[in-house]
Amino acid sequence: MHGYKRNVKCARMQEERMTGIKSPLKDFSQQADEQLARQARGDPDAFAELFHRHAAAVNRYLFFKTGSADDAQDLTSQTFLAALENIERYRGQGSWRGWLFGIARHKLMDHYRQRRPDVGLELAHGVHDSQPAPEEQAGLNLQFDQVGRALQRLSADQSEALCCRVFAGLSAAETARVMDKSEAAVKMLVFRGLGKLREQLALTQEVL
Amino acid sequence: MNTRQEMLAEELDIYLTALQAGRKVEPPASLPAAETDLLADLLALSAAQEPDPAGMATLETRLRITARRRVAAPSHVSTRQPDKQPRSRERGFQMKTFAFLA
Repeated sequence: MHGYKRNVKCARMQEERMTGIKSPLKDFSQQADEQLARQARGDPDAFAELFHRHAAAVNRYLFFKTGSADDAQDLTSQTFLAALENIERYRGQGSWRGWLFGIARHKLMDHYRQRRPDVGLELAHGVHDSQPAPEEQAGLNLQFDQVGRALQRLSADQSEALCCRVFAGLSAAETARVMDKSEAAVKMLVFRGLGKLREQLALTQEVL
Repeated sequence: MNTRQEMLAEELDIYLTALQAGRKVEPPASLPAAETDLLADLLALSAAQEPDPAGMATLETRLRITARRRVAAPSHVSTRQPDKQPRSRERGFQMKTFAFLA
């Protein structure tokens, strides 16, 4: 996320160039997501702050679900644009992050419905340029690929619970809301999913 | 559901929450080491996955511009144009004015 944060200033300058509007620098660090979401109805900077806080997690979740950096980027765009368009619909029931991941999940379902059936999971293909050295990236790609393939062998719910809870960093309560399940059920899905993931990785003699 | 499994699932969740908060905690002895090690590896792998900085900056610009347009023209609040107020009110005002003048 650090590389991305370095580009925040660039985004602001680019926006100022395109719109001719100077954005004042604001400090939102003390404000909770839910407060920002209310403010974002009339303040573009508040929504930009929400984007900074959650873009990487949404992208990571979508990356591990789709296996493609390009698809993850595209779906991240769709998720945030939909969240902006529907910001008035967030009524403060449950966390804003849970609401946002609900949108991401819907976008992912649409993506799966539209996807050609012969497209397999090839994690890390299309990874962007500004990444670690080639050897290091190759090692990472291999690991992404191994985990992605193992995740596919879990039940849909186990895979979803692991992606939300581990890769997106959602709490058990937020994951439960996204998946429309109880917290206890989510914890059990993560527990059993992790065990099965380990078995799958061992079966293919692939080591993380 | 098996009570022991529920307890282990709860312990795993507490351990995962602690790791995600950046706290240095020992893995629960009740959980297999291979699984707690795998969990730590998955978190490290997750942290290694960063979005494309250029793509994210472009998206942020697009979101900021869209948000500004929404604030400037809040069509989601009301679609009624100011020059299309109910005519009856306009007429009523005129009638009152005429009555007064008369």
